[in-house]
Amino acid sequence: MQPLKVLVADDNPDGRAILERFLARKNHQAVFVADGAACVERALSEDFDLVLLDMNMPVLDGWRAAERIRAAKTYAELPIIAFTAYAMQGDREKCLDAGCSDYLAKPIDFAELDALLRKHVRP
Amino acid sequence: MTLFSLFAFSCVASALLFAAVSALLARAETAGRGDLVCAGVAFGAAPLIALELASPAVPSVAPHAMLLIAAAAALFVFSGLCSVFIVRRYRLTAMSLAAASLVAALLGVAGVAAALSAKADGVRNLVAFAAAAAAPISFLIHWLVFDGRPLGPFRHVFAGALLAAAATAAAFAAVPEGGVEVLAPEKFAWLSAWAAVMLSLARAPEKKEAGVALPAATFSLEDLPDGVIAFELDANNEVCAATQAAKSFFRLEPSVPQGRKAPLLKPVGAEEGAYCFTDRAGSTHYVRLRERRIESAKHGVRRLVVVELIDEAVAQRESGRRLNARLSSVIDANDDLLLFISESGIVTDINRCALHFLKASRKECVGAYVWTLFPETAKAPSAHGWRDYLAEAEKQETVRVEAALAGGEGQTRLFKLAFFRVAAGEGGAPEFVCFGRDVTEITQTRKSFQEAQSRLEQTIASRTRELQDAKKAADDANLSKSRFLANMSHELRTPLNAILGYTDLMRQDLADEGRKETQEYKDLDRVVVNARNLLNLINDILDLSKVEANKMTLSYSDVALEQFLDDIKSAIDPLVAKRGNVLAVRAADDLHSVTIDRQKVSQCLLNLLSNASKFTEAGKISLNIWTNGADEAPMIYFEVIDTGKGMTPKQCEAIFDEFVQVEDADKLNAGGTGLGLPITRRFCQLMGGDIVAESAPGAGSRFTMWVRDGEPQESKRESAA
Repeated sequence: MQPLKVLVADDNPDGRAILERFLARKNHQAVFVADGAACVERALSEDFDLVLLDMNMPVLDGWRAAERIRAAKTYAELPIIAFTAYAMQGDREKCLDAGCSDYLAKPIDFAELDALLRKHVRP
Repeated sequence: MTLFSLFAFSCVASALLFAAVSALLARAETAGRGDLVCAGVAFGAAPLIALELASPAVPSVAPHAMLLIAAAAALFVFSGLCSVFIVRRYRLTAMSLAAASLVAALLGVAGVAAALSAKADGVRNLVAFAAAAAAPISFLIHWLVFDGRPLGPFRHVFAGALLAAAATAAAFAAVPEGGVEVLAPEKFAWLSAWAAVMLSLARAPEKKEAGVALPAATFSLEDLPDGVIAFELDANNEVCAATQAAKSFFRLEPSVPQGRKAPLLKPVGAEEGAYCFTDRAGSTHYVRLRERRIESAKHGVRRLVVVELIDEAVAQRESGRRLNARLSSVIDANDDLLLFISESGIVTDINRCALHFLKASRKECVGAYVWTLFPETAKAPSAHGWRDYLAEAEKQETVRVEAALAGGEGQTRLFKLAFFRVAAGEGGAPEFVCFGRDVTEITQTRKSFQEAQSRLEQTIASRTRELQDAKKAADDANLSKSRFLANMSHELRTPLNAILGYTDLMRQDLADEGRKETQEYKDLDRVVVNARNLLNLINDILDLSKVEANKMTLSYSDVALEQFLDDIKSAIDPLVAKRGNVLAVRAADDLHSVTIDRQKVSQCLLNLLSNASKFTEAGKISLNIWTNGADEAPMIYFEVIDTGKGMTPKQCEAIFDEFVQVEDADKLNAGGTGLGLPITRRFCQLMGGDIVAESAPGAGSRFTMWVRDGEPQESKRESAA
């Protein structure tokens, strides 16, 4: 699998740290932001292969961040994977409605995450 | 000018004169106009006859003597008129006759004196005036002789003629031989006739009476019309004759009417001239009596009594009086104000209640303007207002207004006034009645009732608000419960993410370093297993909490059974294979599609199948599916049978309670939370079904769960909402 440029948005340092190590292990390049506004800014200013988006974030939450990214037509195709601890009934649908391409519930399962990266990356 | 033409002329003139006089007299009197005309004719003729008698000597009479004669004649006429007037006015027969005769006699004497003073042919004039004076004098004689008793026409003529003859004889006696010629026979006849008429008129003027005319002196009771009650009384006041009607009325024996005492009649105080008579049946009759003195040669002097029954009139008047008394007592006893008001606003009558309210006497109130009794205030009507009410009552049927009236002690009460017009008062002017009902208390009561009502409404409104608030709070609490659960889930998963993430990273690091067989690596495995267990536990608790909080919603969909079972199978296969078990899935042949909450049914089946896998070693696990095929309440059944170690009946019951797990050394290894079966039961019940377990130690277990096939109506509504 070719290396990807991944934008990770998560306000939890542990969450970021784990993903940093996982993505590094898989040779992906990662950019980390800690809030939704920063995420939108980076996502719209740089080219990323994929966005891993936490939902519960300060300044701008994940759902709105996803909506804003999707609002910019250039990024309509950018894969955004909701990666959140909101794992109750209906949470998956909420994320998809906000514009996310896919959904992954915390706690992390590396195998599942790896499968999703493979699924959504552009060939 | 002949005597006849003079006579005719005087008749016409005097008739006209007396027509005017009689018009005046008739208004207050009952005398007939015919009587008055007759009187006029007689009196008018008197001076003319006197002149005619004196005419042969006229040339010798001095002009001033003629004037005196004329004046005397005029005075004579006037005195006659006066006497008639007096007679009629005062209804005093004897007295007035005396007065009239006296005046006439005096005038006659005055006439004679005047003629004598003329000193011309004195004897003839004296004769003439004596003749003229004879008539009035005859009144006096007539009255003295007959005592004013009624006489028939014949008697009048006879008496008049007698008197006139006497007067003439006196005149002859007084004059010398040559004067006889002046009283020619025809003149004598005229004089006699005149005297007779005068005499007949000198009778007591008869009052014209309604009803039966009293008969003349020569009458018989039989002449009276049928039904007239009349009887004759003799000098001893005993009934000597009676009409048939009188006999039956007074129950006089028809055969022997004579000798009866006059029926006992008692005067009635309230009615003038009325008497009452109690007949044998005890009924009281009211009568009015009219009497006439009659005289006959046969029976001597009697009194004729005509009885007029006035029962009806009296009864009417009596009932009128009673009605009046009743009405006035009712009006006085009324608790409402009651005023009779004239068109101009003057109080014509007032009841006791109104007087009590005004603290005034009837005298003070009657005759006063109503607006002076109730002075104008902010809420009381002005004089203009009262007039408006009356004017409106004149037009409409009833005018109703509310007004605050001030009473005599300065107290103000609220009245509901009703004005309406009553039968016209005197002269046809409209009269009004004003009723005033004191509504002060009622109004106050109504007001306080309305206040109480509005307070009640406010209370209800505020309670409703409170309830709405409470409901909102409850809804909010429910919402916050949901939020709490969501947050709880989130907050528990976040640290678990770190634990599992770091542990996995560490494990992979060790694996990369080829240290998989180390104790360290195994320990990390245990951390992962326990963290996953914790995660399952968290999920189960949240599910259960959602069911408890009624937050669990169902989402039905049509599910293709084959695909659904394949998914289940592939999900559970690893676990089934783990302990060397085999899974056999068998669905009824006719079953292809069901309408269920796919996720929840799947969760339930996975629970059952994982339990079966955990507690069965190298055995067989079966999943059977069928439906009851009912139209009314279609149910789909899932049966999970294992060949595991089984449970005791007690355990079969207990396993559906929360946090109960079959005591087992393998519990931890099995990785159960103890919440799987309780959640499964809750889910099944939520979906209109249930779950039962059959088992025996060592004989395997059979779990049968069933859920509704099809979305319930209320669930549809919920999902629509």
